[in-house]
Amino acid sequence: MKTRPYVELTGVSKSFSPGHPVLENISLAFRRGEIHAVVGENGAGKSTLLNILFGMHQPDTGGILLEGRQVIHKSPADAIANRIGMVHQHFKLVASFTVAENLRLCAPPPIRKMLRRDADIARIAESYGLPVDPSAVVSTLPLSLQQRVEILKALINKAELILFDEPTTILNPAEIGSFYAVCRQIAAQGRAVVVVTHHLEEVLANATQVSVIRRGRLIGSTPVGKRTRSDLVRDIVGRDIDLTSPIARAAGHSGQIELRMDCVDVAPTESSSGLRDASLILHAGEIVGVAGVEGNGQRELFEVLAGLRKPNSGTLEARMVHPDGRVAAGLVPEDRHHEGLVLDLPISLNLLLNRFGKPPFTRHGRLIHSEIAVAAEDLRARADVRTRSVNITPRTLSGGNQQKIVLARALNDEAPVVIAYQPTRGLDVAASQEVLTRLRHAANRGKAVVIISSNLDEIMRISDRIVVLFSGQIAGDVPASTSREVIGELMTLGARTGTDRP
Amino acid sequence: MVFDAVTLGLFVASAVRLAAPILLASLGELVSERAGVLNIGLEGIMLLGAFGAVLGLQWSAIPLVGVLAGAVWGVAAAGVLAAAVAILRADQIVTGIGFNILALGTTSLLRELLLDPAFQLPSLRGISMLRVPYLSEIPVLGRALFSQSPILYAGAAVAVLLWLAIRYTRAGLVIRAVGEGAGAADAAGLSVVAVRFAAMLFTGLLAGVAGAYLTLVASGGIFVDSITAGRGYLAIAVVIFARWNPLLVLIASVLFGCADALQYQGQAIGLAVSPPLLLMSPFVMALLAWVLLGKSNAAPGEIGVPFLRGRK
Amino acid sequence: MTSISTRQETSASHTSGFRSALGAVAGSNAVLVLTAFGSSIAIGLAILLFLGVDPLGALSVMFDGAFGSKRAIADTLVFMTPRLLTALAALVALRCGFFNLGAEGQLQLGAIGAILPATLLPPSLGYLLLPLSILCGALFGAIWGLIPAVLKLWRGADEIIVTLMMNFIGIYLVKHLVQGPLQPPDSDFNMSAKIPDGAALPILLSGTRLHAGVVLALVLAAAVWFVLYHTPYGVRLRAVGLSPRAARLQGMPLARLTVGAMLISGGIAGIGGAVEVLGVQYRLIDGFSSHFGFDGLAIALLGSLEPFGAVVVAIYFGAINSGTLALQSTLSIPAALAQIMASLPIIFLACAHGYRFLKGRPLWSSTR
Repeated sequence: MKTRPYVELTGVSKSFSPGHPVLENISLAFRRGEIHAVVGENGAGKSTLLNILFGMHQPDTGGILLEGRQVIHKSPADAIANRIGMVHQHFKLVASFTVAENLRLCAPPPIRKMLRRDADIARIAESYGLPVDPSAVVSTLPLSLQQRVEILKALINKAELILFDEPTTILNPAEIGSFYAVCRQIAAQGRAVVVVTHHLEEVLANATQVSVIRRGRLIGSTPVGKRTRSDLVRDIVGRDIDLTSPIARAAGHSGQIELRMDCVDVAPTESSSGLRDASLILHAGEIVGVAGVEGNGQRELFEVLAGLRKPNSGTLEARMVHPDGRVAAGLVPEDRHHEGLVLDLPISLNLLLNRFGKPPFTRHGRLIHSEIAVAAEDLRARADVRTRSVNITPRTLSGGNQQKIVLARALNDEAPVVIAYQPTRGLDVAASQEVLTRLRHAANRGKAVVIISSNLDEIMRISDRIVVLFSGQIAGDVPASTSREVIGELMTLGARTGTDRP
Repeated sequence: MVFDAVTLGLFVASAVRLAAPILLASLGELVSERAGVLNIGLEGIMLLGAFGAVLGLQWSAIPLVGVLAGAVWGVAAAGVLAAAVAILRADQIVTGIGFNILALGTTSLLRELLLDPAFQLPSLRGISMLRVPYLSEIPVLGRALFSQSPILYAGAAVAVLLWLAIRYTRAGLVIRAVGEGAGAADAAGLSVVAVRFAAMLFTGLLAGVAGAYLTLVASGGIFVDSITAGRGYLAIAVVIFARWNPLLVLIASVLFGCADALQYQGQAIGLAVSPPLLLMSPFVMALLAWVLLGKSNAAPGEIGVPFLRGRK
Repeated sequence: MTSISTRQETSASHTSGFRSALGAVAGSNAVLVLTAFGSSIAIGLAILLFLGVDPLGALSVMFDGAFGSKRAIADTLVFMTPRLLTALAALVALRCGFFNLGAEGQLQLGAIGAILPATLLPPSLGYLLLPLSILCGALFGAIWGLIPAVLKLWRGADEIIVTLMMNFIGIYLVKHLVQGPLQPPDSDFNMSAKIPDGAALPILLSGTRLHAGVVLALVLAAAVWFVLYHTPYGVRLRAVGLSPRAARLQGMPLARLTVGAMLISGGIAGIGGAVEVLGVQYRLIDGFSSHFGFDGLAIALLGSLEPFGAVVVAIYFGAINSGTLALQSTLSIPAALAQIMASLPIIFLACAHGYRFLKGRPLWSSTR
C-alpha cells in the first residue's frame, strides 16, 4: 500500500495569456522516498508546474495539498515554510556573496543561529555529505558546486520536498552520476525528490516514478520499472517517432577546405574553461558536430569561429572572409531572442539583417522598402515561416517559427560556412527535426556546417564527423559511427591515450 | 598664503556645517542604492522635506517639530516614489526625473499658498547648535567640530551605525542581497518589494531631515524655491565617490562641504578659485571615481533594475 | 572587444527594455499616453478649482495664452524649441541603446560653443557669424556627448551616472564663464556680452519672438525620422539599441555606432543650447535652461521615441509653459503649475509601463 503523498496537485490549470493554457487540469502526487521524474517536450509546462509548487506562479484553478491539507503558495516564502525547496535551472544565488552568506540569507530564524560561524556551516554541509568551503565567493565556484550550495539551501531550510529544474544540463556525465547519488541519499532519508529533465536515460536509470506531460496535460504517472525509452518518447511526443536514426545525407564531401582553425587559445573564465590549443578543419559539404558538456569552451569556439572574439593565440583562416576579416559565415546563435533576432524590428528586416545595407535593398544611402518587402516575402515563403505578415515583429511567433527566420538568414547568405550553436534548444520535436533537416540540406548543397551542441543524440544523428570538446581542448575527432559510450567517455574524461596531445 | 587659526577654525566649522545635508541625503541614497534602487528622486524628496520643515515650523513655532515635519514629508514623498518604483516597477530614472520636476512645481505652488513670508521666526538655536562639553573647548578644531547642529552629530552617528548594520546585521545582509541578486533573495523567501520599499522610506527619512536642515539650520527658517540647488544630485555623486561605504560617505561629505565653504571663505584663507569651479569639483571627482575605479564589486549588481519574479 | 560588448549588454538591456516597451505600446496603446496627458490636465484643473479659480475659464485663458493669437503660438513654439531639440537628442541616443541623461549638459556646452564665436569673432563677419555659432554649439555639444560614449566603451563606465554628473559640470562651467571670463569688464551681472546682430537668429514673424531656430528644430526632427527609418544607418542604430548582441553577430560595429549616435545626440542638444542663446537670450546667462535637458528625456519617452511623437509632446510642453504664463499674468496663478502639469504625464506613463512589465505581457517579458 502506498503512503499518503507528501504533496499533491489537484486539478491545476494555468495560463499566461487567455486561450493558451500552459497547464490543464494536472493532478499529481509526490511521495516521500521517491525520485519523481517529470518529463515532456520543451514548452510542455514542466517548469511552470515546478514554479506553481514553489509559489513563483499561482494556479488559475486547482490547488496544492500538503499531507492532505489545502495550502496556498503566494510566494516562495510560503513554499519554503511548507518545507518545499527548489533548485532552479538558473541558480538563485547571490553571485557576489560567499557560500555562508547565501546560506544565512535563506535560513529561517531558528536555524540562522546555527550558521553564525563559518566552521558550523562547514560542519553542517559535511553532515549532509555535501562539503563546501563556506568562505568561497559563489561566482568563483564551478557550476556543480553552486548546485551543491543550492541543495544545501533546501536542506538547511528543512525541505521535505526538493524540486530540481533541469539539474543535469550543466553537469558532465561523472557529475551527473554523483548528482543522482545525492538524490538517492535525500530520498532515502524520507524526503521527496522531483526532477524535471528531458534526458530519458537519466530517468530510466535513476528515477523511481515518472510523469509525462504533453502540451500542458498529464499523460501518465507510473513507476519507472516498467517503462522503456521508446514508450516514454511516444508518450512525450504523442506518436511514434524515431529520434535516433541518422538523417539522410548526400554521399561524401568535395574535400574543399572552407575553414581552418589552428591551435587556438582563449583564456578561461569563471564559468568556462576557454579554449586550449584547439584546431578544427571544415570541408565543403560536411557537417561537423561539436559535442561536449556546456562550459567546456563551446561559447568561445562559437565566438572565435563567428569572428566575435579574437583568440589569445592561434589562427583562423577561411576561403571566404568579410572585408573586416571575419569569416564569411551564416550564424545560428544559441540565444534566439537576444542574438538571433532583433525582436522589435519587423520580420522582413530580421530576414535580411545581414544584407539590408547592400543593393538592391539600399541605393544611394537610402533603404528601398519595396525591394526589402519582396525579398523578405520570398524568403519567408521558402523558409515556411508561419506569420500573417513580414511587417510585424517576430516577438509573437513560436520558437520554431523564430528559428526558421534565423536559419533562413544564415542559409541564404552567400557564405560557404554555417555555424550553428545549440540550433534546436527550446524547440519541440517537430521543429527540431525541421531545423536539422534544413542544415543537412545546406550541407548536401555544398555548405560546410558546424553544429555545436550539448545534445549528443542530435550530434550523432546529423554529423559526418564528431569533435568532442572537453575542458577547452579537442578531446577527440571521430567518425559519426563511433559508439555513444566512447563519445560519452571523451566528454567526461577528455582525450584518451591514443589521441592524446603532448 | 597666510591664515591664522581663527580663520581656519571658521573655515572648518563652515565646511562641516555645509556638509551635514549632503551627509544625510547621501546616507539615505546609499541605503536605496544598496537595495538596488537608483533613487534619482532624492533631490525632490529633499525639496519636499525642506518645505515640510518650514511648514511645520510655521504651524507649531517649535523648531524640533519643524525637523520632524521635514522627516514626515520626506518619508511621505519617498513613499509615493517607492510605490511607483518598487511596487509598480516604473523605470527608476525616468520616474525620478519626473518626480523632481513635480516636487519643484509642488513646493513652489504650496509656498505661495501656505507659507507666510512675514512669519516671526522663533529661535532656531536649539536645533542649530549644541556645544558638546569639553570637546568643544579644544582650541581651533574643537570649536569647529563640536559646536554644531545636533542633526549633524546624529548624521555622523547614523553613518557609523549604517556601516555596522550593513556589514554585520541580518538587515544589512538582506538589503545587500536584494541589491546584488534580487532573484536570489526572492527565491530565498524574502520580499524584494518590501525591502526596496522600506529602504526607500529610510532614504526619505534621512533626505527629509536633510531638507529640514537646509531650511531650518542653514538658511534660518526660510524656504525659497529650489533651495536644494542640486544637492540631491550631489548626494548621488557622493555615494558613488564613496564607493557605497557609509564611513567614506562621511569623509566625502566633509570634503565636498569644504568645496562649498571655500566659495564663501576662499579669499579669507587666501585661495582665489572661482566659486562655480569649486561647486563643480564634487561632480568631477565623482565622475573620476566612477570612471577610474570602474564598476567594481562596490556597486550593487542590480542597481536600477526593476525586479520581476521568474526572470532568468 | 568582447569585454566591451558584455558591458554594453548589461546597460543596453536597460534602455532597450524601456524602449521596446514604449515602442510596443506606441501603436496599440495611444490610449495610455492620452490618459496620462488627460489625467495630468485634469489634476491641473483640480488644482485650479482648489485655488478657487473657475477651471474652465482658466483652461480657456491657458488655451488662449498658448494658441489664441499669433503671438501666443509664437511663444508656444519658442518654448517648444529647446525641449524638442533635447528630446531629439535623447531619442537618438536611446534608440541606439545609450541612456543619455546628459542632454542638459550638452545643451549647456552648446550654449558655450555658440557664445564664443558670436562674441569673440569680429562682428564685421556679419551673417557668417550665425552659422559659425550654431556649428560651434553643435560641435561643443557633440564633444560633451562623445565623452560618455568613449568612457563607456573604454572603461565600461555606466553612462547614466556619467551623463548625470556631466550635466552639473556643464551647468557650473556656464556659471563660471559668466561670472568671470565671459563677463564684460563693466558689468556685474552674471551674463556674457550681448551677441552682435549678425549672430542672432532672425525673427520670422515681426512682433513675436518666433525665431528661425523653431524651423531648425522641426527640420531636424524630420531629418532624424528620415535617418531612422529610411537609411541603413538608421536600421543599424535601431538594431544596436534593440539588441546589441544580435547586431554584433551580423557584424555591425557597436562601438562606432554608439560613438556616432552620441555625436549626433550631443550635437543636437548643443544646437538646442545655441538656439536658446542666439534666438532667445542673445547672451549667455547663468540658469538660461530650466531643466530643458530633463524635459527633453521625458518628452522623448512620452513621444514613444518617435521624432514626430516628440514634436507633438514638445508642443504640449511649450503650450503648458506659455499657457501658465498667461494664467499668471491674467489670473495671477503661480506658474509652478506648468511644472506640475508637465511632470505628471511622465510619472503616470512610467508607472503604467512598469505595471505592464510586472504583469508579464509577453511583449516585454523577454527583454528587460
